[in-house]
Amino acid sequence: MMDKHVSHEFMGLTLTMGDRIEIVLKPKHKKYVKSDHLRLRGQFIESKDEGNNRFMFIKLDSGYNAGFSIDRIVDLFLLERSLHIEPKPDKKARNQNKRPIVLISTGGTIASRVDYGTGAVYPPQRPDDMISWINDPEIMKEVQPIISMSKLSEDMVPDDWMRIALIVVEAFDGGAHGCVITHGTDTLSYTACALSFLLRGLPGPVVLTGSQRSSDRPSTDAHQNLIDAIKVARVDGLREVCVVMHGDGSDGESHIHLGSRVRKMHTSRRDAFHSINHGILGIVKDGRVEIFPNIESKDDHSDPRIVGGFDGSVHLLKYQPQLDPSTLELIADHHRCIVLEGTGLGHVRSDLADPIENVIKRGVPVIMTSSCISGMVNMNVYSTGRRLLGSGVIPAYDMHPETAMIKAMYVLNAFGKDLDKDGMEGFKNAFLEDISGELSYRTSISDRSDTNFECCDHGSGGMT
Amino acid sequence: MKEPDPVTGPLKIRLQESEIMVGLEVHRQLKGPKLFCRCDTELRDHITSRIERVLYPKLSEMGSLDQAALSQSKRKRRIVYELTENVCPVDIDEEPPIGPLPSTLDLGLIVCLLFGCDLVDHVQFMRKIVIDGSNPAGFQRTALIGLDGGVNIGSERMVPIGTICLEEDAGRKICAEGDYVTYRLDRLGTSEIEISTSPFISSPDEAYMVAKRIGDILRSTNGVKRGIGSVRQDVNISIRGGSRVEIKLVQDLSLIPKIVRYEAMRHSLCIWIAQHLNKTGTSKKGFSKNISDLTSFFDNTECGIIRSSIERGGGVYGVNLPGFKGLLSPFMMELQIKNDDNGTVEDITGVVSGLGREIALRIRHETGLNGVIHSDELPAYGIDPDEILRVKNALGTDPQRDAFVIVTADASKAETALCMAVERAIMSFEGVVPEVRRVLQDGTTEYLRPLPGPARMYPETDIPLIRLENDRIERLMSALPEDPEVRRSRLCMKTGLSSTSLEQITGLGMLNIFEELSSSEVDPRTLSMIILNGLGPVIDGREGEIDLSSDLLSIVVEAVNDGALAREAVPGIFQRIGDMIGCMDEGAMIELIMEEYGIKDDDMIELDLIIDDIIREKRDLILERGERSLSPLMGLIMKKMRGRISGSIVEKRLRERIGITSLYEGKV
Repeated sequence: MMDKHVSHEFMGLTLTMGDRIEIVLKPKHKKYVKSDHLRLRGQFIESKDEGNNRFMFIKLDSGYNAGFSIDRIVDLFLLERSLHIEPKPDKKARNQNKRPIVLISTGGTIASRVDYGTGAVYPPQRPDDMISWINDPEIMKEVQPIISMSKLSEDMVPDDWMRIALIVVEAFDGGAHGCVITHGTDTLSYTACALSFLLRGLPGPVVLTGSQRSSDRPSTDAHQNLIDAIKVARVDGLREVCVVMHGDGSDGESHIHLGSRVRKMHTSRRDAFHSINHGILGIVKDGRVEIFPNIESKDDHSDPRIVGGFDGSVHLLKYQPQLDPSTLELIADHHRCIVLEGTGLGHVRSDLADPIENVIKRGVPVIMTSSCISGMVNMNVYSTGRRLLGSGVIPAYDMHPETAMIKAMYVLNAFGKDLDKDGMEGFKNAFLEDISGELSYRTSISDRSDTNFECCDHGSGGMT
Repeated sequence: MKEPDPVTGPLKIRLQESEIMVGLEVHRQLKGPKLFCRCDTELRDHITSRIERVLYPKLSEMGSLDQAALSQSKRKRRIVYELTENVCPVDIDEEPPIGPLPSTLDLGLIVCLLFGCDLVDHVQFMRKIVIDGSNPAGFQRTALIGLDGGVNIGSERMVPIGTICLEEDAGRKICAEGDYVTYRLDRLGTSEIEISTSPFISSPDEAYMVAKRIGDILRSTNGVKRGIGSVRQDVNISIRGGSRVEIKLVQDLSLIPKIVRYEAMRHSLCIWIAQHLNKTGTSKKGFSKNISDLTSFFDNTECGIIRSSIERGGGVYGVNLPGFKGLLSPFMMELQIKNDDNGTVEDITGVVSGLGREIALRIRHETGLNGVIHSDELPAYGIDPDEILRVKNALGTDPQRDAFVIVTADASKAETALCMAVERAIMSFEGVVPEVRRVLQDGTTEYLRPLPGPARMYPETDIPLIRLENDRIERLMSALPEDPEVRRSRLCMKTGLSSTSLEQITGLGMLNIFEELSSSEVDPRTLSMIILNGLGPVIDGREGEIDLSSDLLSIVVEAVNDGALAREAVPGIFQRIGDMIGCMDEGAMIELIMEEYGIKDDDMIELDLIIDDIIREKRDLILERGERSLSPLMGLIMKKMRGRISGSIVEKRLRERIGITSLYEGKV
């Protein structure tokens, strides 16, 4: 992101972004035609230092940006100062909660805006910026936008999950029918999972969405994702934390995923989000929402509230063939729980069995997930697995690694500082209890979610 | 068509050459992979899958002036993309782009240097908003690399080049039906160089020469694609007192003079119409966008278009155009263009389509509606005078001065269409309407869309800035290709070939191989014959590059020179090579060719027998004329051996035998 207000000194002139200038340039090389000097007009963008060189970037009147070495500039004229008329940041929404759908912006690509003049990327200044580009007055009338924070996905921390959960509860307390949370996509599934554990007694849907292609481009997926998320938030009887994102590479269909099951499975595609070991909850096709059957309605929905919190001392450790056995003990010195991402059905090299057993004896639970991401952990098939089970390793069954980690953080928070023998048993029992559909001890033949996109069998899932 | 008025004749207008301004934008595809991924750029027939997308124009950021973008968004369309094997996630905007290959950028820089351009120090790719669907991202990536150059025509004339950009080509439009438009993405992302001249004063023919010279210099880099679709020109034209009009996608260079002439006539007509309206006291105030429902007048019409439209539930609607009588039909024109320097005058006559057609095309492009009928073309289409009279009465059309337009469609579409008709008629008061037009095969043009506002561009942040180091530029400057004209005249001197032959060889993209081989011991004439007669048709048939090594060519040339291959068999040989390319390696190909086309022992024996016969028969002739009997005898033998044995072998053998005959028998 570029700052509009940084001033740059050139030849006795102080320039800020957007100032209209004229520069006179020496040729870069010996030309054989035309003028000795080149006059160019445009908007000053910024200057950059590279090594001993300084460059000026200018948006020429033709619309093109280009960089020129300061050494080549023989003359510089300021033609017109830029006018920085910026809306005052106004993060408080007017008429809070008077509209049925509360849209909570947390930042990320879906919230970013581009200054088409200079190319600078900036967060939305006013809540209405979040929805002003939706060309649908019906939808806009229903939505109450709030800017809760302006964070990139990768900067999100567990405290932010708590903050978002508080705003959701406030919104429902204020009479909202549903909430939409816009979020950067990289850690969107972490936040979705955390909210599924935290939020209880939801009277309506909490829908997270984001955008894989920035909203400055006409091809953005933000438009469909946001509108479809809003439509899902209007559904009656859906009392889940869920994620609505593109269903495939075409526009037109969005998938509704359960918050504790979803995972980003592609770095850049718009259909990157997949439900792991679980069917999707429904689809939005050409604007029409369809929720699949078998979704159990939770009866406790009168009292939206936050239950519990997160203990940050859980480490997610990926097993790979060169993992040093001492690593486990070192991690256990600073953490209260280790979630292992093992191979296949849930294995690690046999010489790691001893250190794992030691760690568990020290009161640090070890949970086994699989680096295959899709499929159930089953440690009874091979001897290494059986040995690990014997040492007290907790298999995460059909939870994917990040869900297992967040759940471990959540469960651990309910227990005291050091886990004694009973504590370990209590932790295990709590961990293996389903909270919000994240654990079902069964997978379906069609629950295969990988980067092959045609495998989502609608309606195969169900909550248990 | 308007008949020439018996008193005044066709509409006569005079222009000075200096009143015509032309600007060219030349787009040329570069060889190599796509600009922002590493897919190849070949056009494909096999479609692997399809996706469907929607583009969202950002209305709030578009500004009220951008008519082009608004016109696109008026038609809410879904876009279908056909994916081929050379389409990757970058192409369908599912993955960020990777930067261009250094060699591709080098090629762009070489082009800048060849046109004497100044260079930027940092190349920054931009996103240029294009929402017709031709690019799945909704923008085209483009970077300015060169500025302020020129292209010389002859020794004195220098036409300024404003900018040179490196950009990606768009997808191929396959079809547009209803609310769907389909693009195939095999071509999308192909590297392209865009050379824009500043507007320059020009005669129609000079505009052609500039385009040709630019193409010539581009080819000299050996890095540009050839064949249909690899090059297209946009021609910007204006005349004094008019406005700029952009003629899109001119593929055939030789059309440029025709286009300039036609547009000069058309612009003159537009200006004349504006003056005429002014003279006749016609006012914009007389127009009303209130449309009238005329359906009831056509209950028993003989007009097929109207009848079938009414049967489908449509109606007939019309609007009066006050003061426009006679302006809607085509005009016979006579335009004189006077050269400022030498005073010579060029007379151009032709027919320019009138306002009626302009209105009909606008309506068709914006609403998809056909069946626009105007009063200047009536009676026609089975509409009878009685119906016309009733329409005129209903619309309040003054038969002496007014015109009218009727459309047949449903009410809301008809209203949009007729509003457009009125809007377009009102534009005539300003003279030339700034717009984008497309060229037809005969060099005339028709309306395509409104002229886009200033391009909306913002930085492509996914591609890092590329700094152009001075030593990179010095390296490129030290190895610039020779100017194509200089090179040709040098090769003319050296090889004795005509400049035309060399131009043809250049056109086939074979000049480098030609020069390489003709500097060895190969005979340049044989070589040029082989390239032009043998390779030429193969290359043209394939509409593109042919990947042939100079080794293969030199083997064929040598074999022909030695007589191992018959000269006459050359076109057949290359036809065969053309079929085999890509299916087998060159070694195998040569073996096969020699086997199929090489001179066989049987042929040599037969030749000797034939020569024996001839010498016996024509003994007197040989004794009388000696060496000079060679050519008539050659003719006789070649009649029998053509295509099997090279003429040079026949000549060699025959010469020997004639020598022997005259030497020994002559003395007897």
